[in-house]
Amino acid sequence: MPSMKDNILEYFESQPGIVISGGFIAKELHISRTAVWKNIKTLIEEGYDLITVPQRGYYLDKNSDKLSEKLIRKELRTKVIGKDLRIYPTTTSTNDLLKEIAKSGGAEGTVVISEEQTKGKGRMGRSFYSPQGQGIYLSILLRPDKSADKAVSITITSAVAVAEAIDKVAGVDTRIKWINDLFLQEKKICGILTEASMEMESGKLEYVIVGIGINVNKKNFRVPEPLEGVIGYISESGGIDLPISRNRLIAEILNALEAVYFKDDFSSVLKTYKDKSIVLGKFVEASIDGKLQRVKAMDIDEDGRLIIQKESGDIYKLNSGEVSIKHWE
Amino acid sequence: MNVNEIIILIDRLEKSEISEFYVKDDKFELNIIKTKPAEPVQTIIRESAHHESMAPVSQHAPVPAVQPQPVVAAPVPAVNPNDFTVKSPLVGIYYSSPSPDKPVYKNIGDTVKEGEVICILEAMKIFNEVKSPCSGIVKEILVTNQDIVEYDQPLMIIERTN
Repeated sequence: MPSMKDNILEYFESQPGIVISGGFIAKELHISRTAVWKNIKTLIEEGYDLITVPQRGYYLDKNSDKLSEKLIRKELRTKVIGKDLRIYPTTTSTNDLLKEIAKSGGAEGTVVISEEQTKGKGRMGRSFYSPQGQGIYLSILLRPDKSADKAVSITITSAVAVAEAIDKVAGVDTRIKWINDLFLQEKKICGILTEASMEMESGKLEYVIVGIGINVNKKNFRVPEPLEGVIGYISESGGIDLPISRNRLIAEILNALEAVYFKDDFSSVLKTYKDKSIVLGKFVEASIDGKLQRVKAMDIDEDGRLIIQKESGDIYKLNSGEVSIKHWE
Repeated sequence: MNVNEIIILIDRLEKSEISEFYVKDDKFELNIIKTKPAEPVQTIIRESAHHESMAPVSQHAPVPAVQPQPVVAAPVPAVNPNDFTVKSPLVGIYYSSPSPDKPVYKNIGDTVKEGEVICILEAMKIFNEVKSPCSGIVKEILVTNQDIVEYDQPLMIIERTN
């Protein structure tokens, strides 16, 4: 049941920039003008860019990009992914939050999104910079009927879905760095952290959580020092003047993921993945067995392994744990 | 054929009387030779180029796609009918704690409940929480943090309590 506050918000979100009087809303919803005013005050406190025009009413700033379930649903065409969609103003980590939901029986397709993460996670204890309002921090719960050693297809499928959604919304050409980082103009704009729980004896996955962090619109804050020049933002790296609508991008990510995830046509997903690869056909500096070596990235196989050729001509198939790519040319 | 299948195959051959095994199809060739039946098997894998974008590779150069791993039989501790050996369900990296700044899931002597997370195995950037298949006390931990573990490699011995 949408609350009165949500009902009021809908008037503004459905026509951003248009001034609507409190009296009009009060009449439409059969509530008092004071009740309208109180709800609007709450919405402003929650961060909605509602602007007061004395004697006339209120309007929602056109450039407002507050996450909104209503606006996401407007563009959402999925049946499963996002059916249960929860937006939080803040959380430690959307993956951790969704893990708790998964453990208490959350349904496949449950999506958790937050305006910011106070402990955004990267690989093994590294943090993912997740400031308020500039990015998309989103986790998706999947329950695939797969064994854990085949789960790499989910990471690859997610990377392709996110890249295609960004391309569609921003009109750019997102590239993928093996295995799960997305790049635009040599800058990392997105990281994907996949966490799973498996049954010991069968090796089957109980659930998979795909955590997606995207840097969307850069605001006027300084990026923390170690990330300076390393991370980019879609709007900035893509040379787009207007801010990208995060609500629309979220909807398109979920649309794209549902389309590829349930089709179960991994070879066509892998083909797109390879077409978008930033490393294939290039020389990469890879740390193999602790030694930095210059090797050629040749191919990616059905198990997601990177096939490389050393200068000696020998060909190796590498798992993610055996190599980390430092540079490519 | 994937790494797991090869490892299983080697494991089977190790225990069998067969001294040499050879299989070939249009893109794959595998030859396993046991020099002496008692010794660990040697593996030679040849994989021909099967993707157009691959540079020509000398067709039959030995390709060390899989590092020949001496197959060592699982250490069998003093047999206790209540001992349960937790074996790795996949090839990956073993982590003893949820993240480097967090305490380890289990130490030797800790009690463990069925379904409780005992470690994380990372395979292809996916972090899998591994749950204990039984309740008991952790008797031995056979791997250390960040070890690369093979399929079926014993990770932990849990002494079951009922």
